[in-house]
Amino acid sequence: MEQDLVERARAGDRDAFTQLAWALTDGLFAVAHRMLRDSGLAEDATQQALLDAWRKLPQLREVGRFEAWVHRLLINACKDEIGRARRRDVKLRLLPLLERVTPDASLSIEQRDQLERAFDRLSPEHRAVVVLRHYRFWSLGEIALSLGLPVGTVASRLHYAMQALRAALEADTRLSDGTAVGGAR
Amino acid sequence: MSRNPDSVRLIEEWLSDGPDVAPDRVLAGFSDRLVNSRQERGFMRTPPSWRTLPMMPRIAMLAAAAVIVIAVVILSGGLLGRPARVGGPASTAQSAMPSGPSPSSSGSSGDPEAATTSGQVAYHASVEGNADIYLANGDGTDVIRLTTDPSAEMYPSWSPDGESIAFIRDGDVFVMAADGTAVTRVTSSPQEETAPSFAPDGTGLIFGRAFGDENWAIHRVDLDGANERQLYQEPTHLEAEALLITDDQLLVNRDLIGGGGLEIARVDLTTGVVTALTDYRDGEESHFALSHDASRIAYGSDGPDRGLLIMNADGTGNRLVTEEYFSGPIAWTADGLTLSFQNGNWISLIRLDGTGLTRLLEGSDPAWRPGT
Repeated sequence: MEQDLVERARAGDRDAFTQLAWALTDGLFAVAHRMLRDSGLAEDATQQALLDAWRKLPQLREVGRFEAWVHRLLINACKDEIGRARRRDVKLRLLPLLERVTPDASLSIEQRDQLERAFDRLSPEHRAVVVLRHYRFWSLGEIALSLGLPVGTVASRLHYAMQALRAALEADTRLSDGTAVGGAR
Repeated sequence: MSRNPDSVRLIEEWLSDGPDVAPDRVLAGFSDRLVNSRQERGFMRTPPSWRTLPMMPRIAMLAAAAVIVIAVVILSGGLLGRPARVGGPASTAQSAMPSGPSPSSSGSSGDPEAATTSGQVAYHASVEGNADIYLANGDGTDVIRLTTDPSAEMYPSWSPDGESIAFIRDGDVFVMAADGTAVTRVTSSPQEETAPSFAPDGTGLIFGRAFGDENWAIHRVDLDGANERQLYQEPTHLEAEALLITDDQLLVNRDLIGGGGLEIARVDLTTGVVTALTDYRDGEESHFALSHDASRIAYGSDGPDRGLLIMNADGTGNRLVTEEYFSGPIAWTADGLTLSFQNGNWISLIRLDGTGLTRLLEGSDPAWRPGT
């Protein structure tokens, strides 16, 4: 059924595309928000990805890959948002996400802060693989297909990014334990 | 504070915090921008003209669309919790026997000027979960299965004389005759090996071998397995895909910043000088193929000209062939007039001027037989 909608949208049926947009927007926005850590930028990136999808849809041959393709457009839109923000020399505001903090969260405020800072230091490419793997729970193959990268590259980026995030958590633990960063565990 | 060794769980918990629902203004803003983009899709047949509708009908339309989508989602098994994955690698593994549809029968292109080529193409396809090497004519007909071993065989690569095929079986390099006979093991290391290709003189093979964490080093070995040696490695990241232009000139795909920096480079194996042919700051490049006369390189880019591009072997003269390249291995056809590339589960063909894009076969890793 979804493929039928994609086929119709590709042929220029705007109503069909609107239905697809309805189905996809929440998921796209959620991914963009995790990547950009900013609601306004995430809204812009989501809108841009949907608009790009509408414009470029006639070029999409593999209708069965519509969702993966739209996510690639979204990641590119997020990269553009980050690039624009950096060119404006505006540091992306690290959102504390107070609107929905899990009540029984295992994470301390300090750990969240460390993760936010470590994530902010990651490149957009690293952020993308982390979000798609550990938020959307896509396989490495699915991520590779969506981003147009070799699986080895995806694995490498994920390894590097997770290493950086783990290091942030461990640094917080050591600091909280009164152990100097880089000291004995 | 107590230590929690399950850092992945903590990171996933951290990522799960945040909005899962987009504010209404996202769709509303998109709808407005969609109306403004009308001129960009001049063939649209059903412009509902959101802006011209009074508010109530707009709301009614949105509500109706929402009901339809929800119904579709429920009937299709639940998209809301986690959107259904479409077109992922799993569908390749479950694909039907590759039947080699001709361009005209594949249904993928209504273009009467669809690209065609002669010759033969080797590729790998998975049937009932078992990957094997197949051979087909350039029009997708006469598919022959070359390997029947229960192991997974993939990454076929032709010898310069078109008489032998190197391939990977369960992480080791093998060579067989073009008809699938005379299978010979070349490597037997415990590390994973992949992406073999012949040296230009046909006397040896190069391949990628796992090196450290998710990294690869490029090795060379004689066809009988002797004289194996490492040619090149990068401590940050190197892709397994590499090609010898001459005996001492190697094309590699490296990432010097350890993420987000893939570029194509030429390595002089005699002097050790590495020359970047592309600049990752203009967009990452991955997957590449050298033309048979070694004068041009086709490659995929994620830069401003996203898609499949061609450049001269010295990195000059870049031009976009098609934006419709999504990802996957690229190969020059034997006549050098068209390119083939893997797009999803399909091997596609396109002329060098970007016309005639068409599906050829269901499979992966196309390699065109020289001299055919």
